Amino acid sequence: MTLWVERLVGWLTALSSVALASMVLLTVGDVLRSNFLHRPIIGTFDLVEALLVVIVFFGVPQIFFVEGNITVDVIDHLIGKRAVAFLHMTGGILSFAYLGLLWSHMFAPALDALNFGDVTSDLGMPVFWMWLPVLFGLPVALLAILFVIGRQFAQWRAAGKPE
Amino acid sequence: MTVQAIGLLGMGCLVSLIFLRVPVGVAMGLVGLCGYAAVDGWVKAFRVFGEVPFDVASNYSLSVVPMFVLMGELATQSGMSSQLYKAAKALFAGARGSQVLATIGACAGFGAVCGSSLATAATMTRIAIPEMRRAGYDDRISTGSVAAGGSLGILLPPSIVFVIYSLISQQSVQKMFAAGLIPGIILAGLYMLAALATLAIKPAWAPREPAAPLKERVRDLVLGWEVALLFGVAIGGLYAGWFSPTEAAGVGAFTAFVLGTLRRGLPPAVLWNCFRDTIRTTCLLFVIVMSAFIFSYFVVQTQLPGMLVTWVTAWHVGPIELVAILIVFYVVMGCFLDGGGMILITVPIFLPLVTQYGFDPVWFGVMLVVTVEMGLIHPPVGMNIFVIQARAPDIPILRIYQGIIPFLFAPLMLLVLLIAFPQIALWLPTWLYG
Repeated sequence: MTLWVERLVGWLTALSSVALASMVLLTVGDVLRSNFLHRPIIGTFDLVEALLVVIVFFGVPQIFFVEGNITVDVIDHLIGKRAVAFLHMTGGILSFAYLGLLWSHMFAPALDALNFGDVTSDLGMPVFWMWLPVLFGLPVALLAILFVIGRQFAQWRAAGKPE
Repeated sequence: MTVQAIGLLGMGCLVSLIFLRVPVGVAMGLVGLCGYAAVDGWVKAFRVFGEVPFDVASNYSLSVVPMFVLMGELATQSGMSSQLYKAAKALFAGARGSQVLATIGACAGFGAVCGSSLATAATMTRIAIPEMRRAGYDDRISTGSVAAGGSLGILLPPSIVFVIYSLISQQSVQKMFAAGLIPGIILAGLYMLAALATLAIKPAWAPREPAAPLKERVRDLVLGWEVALLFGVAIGGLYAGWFSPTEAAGVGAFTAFVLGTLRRGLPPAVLWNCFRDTIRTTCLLFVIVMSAFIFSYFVVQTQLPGMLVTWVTAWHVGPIELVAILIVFYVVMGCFLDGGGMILITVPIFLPLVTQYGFDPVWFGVMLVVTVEMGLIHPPVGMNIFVIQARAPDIPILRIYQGIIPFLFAPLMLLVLLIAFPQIALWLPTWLYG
């Protein structure tokens, strides 16, 4: 299970990296063509926006999987190990609730984009396509958080046992 | 319950959740959602909740974030920083505490291509502290100089914190990058003065090293060309008007890749690390920014900024007093909160107040970043201090605290200068962009 989740998160991070490399190359290509050939790459603006969505939503599972979010740990020195482990787990559960709510409420605007046939300004690319990384990336992030909560639960139980 | 009371309750919940170790981004998003729903109903709240993150993640102007972060990662992990340190050492060779001055200079140079204070501090800890220890420097002055110099990364362009501030305050990224340059250079100079003053009082903390022959110094000085070129291409191109911020970031990342490859500093494993770390940093920021936008919708609904303006006006607080109160507030908050999070939470509330008093939002942004910078180095919880301690665990944290204290006067002095002469921050953006 661990390996499976880790792999899935790793693949999405790799796709996110490919999107980032593409964004850099596209931007440089556009700068070069604009300055030397006076013919910019049409649709750069749309593509950069689409690639940014891929970078962010395929990268989000990674940040939750490695528990890389910013937290404030001043309370750690005032409370016991078990209480800290409990707060870790609570943070994980709230993160799950937050992303779960987010995901479930992103379907409506995504479907609106599909039903109304929204397209991007330069390329005429369907906006719904840009929603796909969102709709696919967030469930993987949820899976990653579930895995992390499991790990935190084990740490909480272990913290209660006498050494 | 009035909307203002809901707003205050929301702020209380946010602070409590953050102190109970809930991730800052999650806490802001949840409080923003529930607060918005309390003011305007769940239907509208969920509508905003579902749309805002996508709008943020598909915002063209935010594409500078991953590309500038990548530029910094490539420069860091390909080892350009060690060459820069050698060049800075050559520049200051011969003076007492030359390596301390070189560390601050190299931090400023590296911060100017890296954009992150933590990355600058982490990199320079690895390079500068072992060299200073070998040369007989006291750990207090060596760690103090790295912590202080490292903090320059968020003031000098391309600062990611400035990008976040631009977004939340609706200022131009170019203007903010231009506004940070002169204060950043002045602060580097003030840090050097603080180091020299410390060494005048405690001469035993730094040995006088013999100056290398001129030929050798000139040769070493040239080693810093990669960082100079990178800064020149990316930020110089931006200032000169050749590139938009996104283009500057893209060209900067590409140039860093080419330079890193030419110096054989980017084998596949290192390159993968650069991308993975960039994705982590980017997504960490985006989670917070997306949630901050949800939270700021709630703040606007509660009319808290308007209420704050009314209160402060009723108390007849003068402009300088207001700035002093805000600085104290941010310094205290900096003990607990990360800089980006602090800006995202507070700017929607304080900016209307500050502009109401006639202050320029660009100037306020620079003031804010200098204050955040202090938060990175002041005890007990300056993040740069922890970064140094993590990289040099045999140095007791108390010695790092002792070393950083003299350097804290430098940002305070800069804040005074910025209040007395706002043109320090405003001259360059006005000259470049009108």
